[in-house]
Amino acid sequence: MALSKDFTNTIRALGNLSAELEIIKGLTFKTVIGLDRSFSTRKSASSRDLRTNATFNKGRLYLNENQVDNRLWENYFTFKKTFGKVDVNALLGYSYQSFGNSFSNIEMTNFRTSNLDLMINNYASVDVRAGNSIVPTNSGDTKDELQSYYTRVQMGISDKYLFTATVRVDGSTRFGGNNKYGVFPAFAFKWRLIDEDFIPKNIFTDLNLRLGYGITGNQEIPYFLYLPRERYADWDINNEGNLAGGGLDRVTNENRNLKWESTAQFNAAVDFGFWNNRVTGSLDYYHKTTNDLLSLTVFAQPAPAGNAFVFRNIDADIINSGVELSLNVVAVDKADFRWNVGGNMAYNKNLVKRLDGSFDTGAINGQGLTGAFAQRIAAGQPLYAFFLRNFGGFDANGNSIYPEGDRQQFSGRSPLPKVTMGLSNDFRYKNFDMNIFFTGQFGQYIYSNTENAFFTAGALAGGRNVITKVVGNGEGLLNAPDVSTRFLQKGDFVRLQNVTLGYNMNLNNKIISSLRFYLNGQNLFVITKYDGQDPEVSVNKQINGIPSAGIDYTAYPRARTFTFGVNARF
Amino acid sequence: MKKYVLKLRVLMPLIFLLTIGCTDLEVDETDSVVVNTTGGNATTNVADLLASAYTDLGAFTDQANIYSLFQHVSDEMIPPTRGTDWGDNGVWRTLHAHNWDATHQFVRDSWNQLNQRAFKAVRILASSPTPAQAAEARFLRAFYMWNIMDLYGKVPYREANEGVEVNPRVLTRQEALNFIIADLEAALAGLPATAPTNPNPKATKAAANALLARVYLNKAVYTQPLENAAGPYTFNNADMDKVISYADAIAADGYALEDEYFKPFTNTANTDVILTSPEGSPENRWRMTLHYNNNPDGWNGFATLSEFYAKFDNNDERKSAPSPRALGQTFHGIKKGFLVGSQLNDNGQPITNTRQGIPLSFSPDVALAGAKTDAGIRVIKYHPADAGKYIILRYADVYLMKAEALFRKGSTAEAKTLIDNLRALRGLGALPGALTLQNILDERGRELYWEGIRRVDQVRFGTFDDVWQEKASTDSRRVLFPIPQQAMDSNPNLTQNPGY
Repeated sequence: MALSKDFTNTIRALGNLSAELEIIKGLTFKTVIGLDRSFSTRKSASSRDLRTNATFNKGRLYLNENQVDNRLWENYFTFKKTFGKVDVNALLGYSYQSFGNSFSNIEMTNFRTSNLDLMINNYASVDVRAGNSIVPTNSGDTKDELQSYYTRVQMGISDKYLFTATVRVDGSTRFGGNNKYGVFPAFAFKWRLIDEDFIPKNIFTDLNLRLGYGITGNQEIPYFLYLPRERYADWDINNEGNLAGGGLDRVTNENRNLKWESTAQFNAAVDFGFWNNRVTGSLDYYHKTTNDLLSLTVFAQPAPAGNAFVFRNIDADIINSGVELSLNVVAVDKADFRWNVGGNMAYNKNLVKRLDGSFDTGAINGQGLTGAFAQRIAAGQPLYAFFLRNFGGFDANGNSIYPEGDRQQFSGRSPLPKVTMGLSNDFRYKNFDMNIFFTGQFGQYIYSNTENAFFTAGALAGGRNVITKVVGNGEGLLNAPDVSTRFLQKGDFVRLQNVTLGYNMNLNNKIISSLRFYLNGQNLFVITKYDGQDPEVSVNKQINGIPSAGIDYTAYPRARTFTFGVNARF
Repeated sequence: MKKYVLKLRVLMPLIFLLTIGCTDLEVDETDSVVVNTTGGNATTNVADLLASAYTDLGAFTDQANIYSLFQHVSDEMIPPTRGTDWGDNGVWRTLHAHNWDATHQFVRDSWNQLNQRAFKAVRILASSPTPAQAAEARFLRAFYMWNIMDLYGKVPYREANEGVEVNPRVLTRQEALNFIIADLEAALAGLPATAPTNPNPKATKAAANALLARVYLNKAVYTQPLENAAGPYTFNNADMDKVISYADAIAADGYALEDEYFKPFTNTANTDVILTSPEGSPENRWRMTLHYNNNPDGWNGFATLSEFYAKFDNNDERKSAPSPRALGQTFHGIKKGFLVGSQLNDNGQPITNTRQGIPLSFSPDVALAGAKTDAGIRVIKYHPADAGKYIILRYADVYLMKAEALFRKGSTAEAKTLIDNLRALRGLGALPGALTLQNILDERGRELYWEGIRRVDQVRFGTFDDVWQEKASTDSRRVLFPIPQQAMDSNPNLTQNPGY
């Protein structure tokens, strides 16, 4: 018999309307209006027969309503004209976006029935007289707005030199006072070398040089943080049937100086094609510097009661630099057989520079691990650098040895991959087609909180099951499994991400113009030495809003999916 | 038709021009209230804020954080790691072994807890309190600031109207000392003189006098430069006279030693309890030490050291007392004082240690790491059957402070009389020979064990760096905790303590 039921119902309306008008030749005006509204309700009932503290002999019903109201209005002029050898393409625009969200939640308990349908469709089955039977959990209504002014000028000279300059002025309700707006310029230059006489056309079929520099903004922080606000906290009927919460709480602390985080990026690239474009590709170097990092930080003590955290722009630089190479090779190009190989490989180096102090993150959970963490963000280290005890095996009593002391230190390991790659093979033989796609990541490490929490001799001593590698590894039953390099593993992997085999029917049919059958498999296998479920893992283990990366904690592995399909065109 | 098109050509761009600046990007707030901070962090409801400042004393009942910084670093308590239990990333072991650093979780969280609480009192004082409310807020501010000064050697201070953009100024230990004394003296005038009650949840003249006695007794420690925070200390006779007069003022209000040692920890009336935490039962105090298989079941954590246990004479009433419950009643199985050896349940039958399937017996020897589940002597002062409210200040401490002050100013005979009188009350004979500082420290340990004052005593008596079980001789800088790294990062006015 079912002891719980959970219904969600969503209605969503999406709409886009645009009008375009040519004012004079070359000058057009376009306006776009977009709407995305949705309304969803959720009713989740648990029977009074369900033996949990929250439900047994009382039942629970949660009602939830959620409304999303997102709007867009964009207006822009475009201007195109050729002046002799110079092509000009200019754009001037304005856009407005709003993101509205409202919700309301209600909680009920003390039901006189265990009939789930009745609980959901006959609210009076709750025993209101029993006291603490129904509470408004809470409701809320927020709206964020973005407003942008932008212009872009593209100029092509003799089709050889292409200059682009862009300036955006973005404004957001998430920032206060004079900092609502950020100015984000970008410049790009493309030189079509292939059109130059000194490039041998017998070798190159395409050759471009690209240079670019630009600044982009980030405003991804929660709603309305720059002024101190108070709000009544959620009510809850706790497991014992008592009312909890409901107090007037400080939900934000004041920071009127909150402003846009920005990333400056320089890149230089070469696009090339050889032998009639049988080989094409590009080589791209980039250097990104992110500063004024938006982050939750501590409010220097003594601080107001309640929430002692405040969002700030941290004065630090996070640098990502690297090289990306992509290549596409047409290996075989015959009438009834074609083989195309596409690959990309990227090397990235991440470094935190110029940061005062440090931030601990990567919470490690488990018995005897209260307050434990595995990562520290500090200057001179990559983001989310692992900060661990150096594990040196077990002593005669089976206790952990830490040759460099029972203290955490930077391990020189990072959860961020150094090299990522993708390899795609496309085959076409007569009516058959096939795609085989591999992905891989190399150089990153994974901290297994799962093993730290559950797979130790101490866990075995506590009567819990462990994995085989715990048995006979020399660990004593009384050893404390502290956070150390013992639970850090290489995360390198190659995954067969996708295989598709298709067959196109030869048709001469007036009704069906094409018909294709295909068989698709996703995530078919992973080659890795990582002994957890899946090396491509990052469970959210943030501490005080500082994000973490590369920590595995009872994560579900990625699904392996097989699809058989038919595409028909009428 | 052509005209119409022309109009459209003009109209639509016009709409565009009109939309420019269509929003001022100000939030139209509807689901929360923006707090007006122009008047600082003042409140219009002083009574509620004061009540919550008292409620905040509940932080002292926690077995972690503030209590742990005063108690786990001492020779009275050990927090053994038992397999996967109580490892907690070394947070307990580093306290016992004195090798914590500025990122230690409890060092950080205690700083945050204490400073938040001190600031609440600052807000009350900035919110036009009545004279009586102001006196209570001053006492609470002094109490929280005393904790900060004692643990960290400096105290940051934020005015009520200073927002997040202001880096709080930092009081040196000497400045903080003067600030605390001034607050307490001002509070003393406005606080009520009340006879002992239990629970005693409000600040009284006795509470202010007790804290003043403590501050003056330790003044030699607090006036030492931070570079030589571990002493040697020079105790000033004038300060000792102050300790004695504050202690006498408390006695004049009717406070006195209780004959029955465990009575102050119960819910019955007594003459000993000066201040209790209004919220937070002392439940953590038995849960943190009792075994899983005891009734009530504990978290199987902390134990005392066999060296400390050996300081107790068998006649010492403080060593052990029977359960207040008769055989067969709930909690009969838990005695008061030290629990050592075989443990019996409420019906007098041996308890089985279910993890090992053997009879439960607490052994005196205990290791800091890799301890067995039944290792270590357990300690019960608050008994689950008759526990009162958690005690923040009590008279026995004041009484011993007076004896110590007398001794330190040279009135050794008077001091010995006080100590011997206390001993007589506890079933012990007078101390043989002349009274020594070691006698006083030992007597304080026997009377006040596990009450969260041992660190202060060991620092003042100069034994904090000594060797004891599962602890090597340690650096004298350890008499002060480091300023938490998080605090250093968030307030550039702070400087790190010497040696960290």
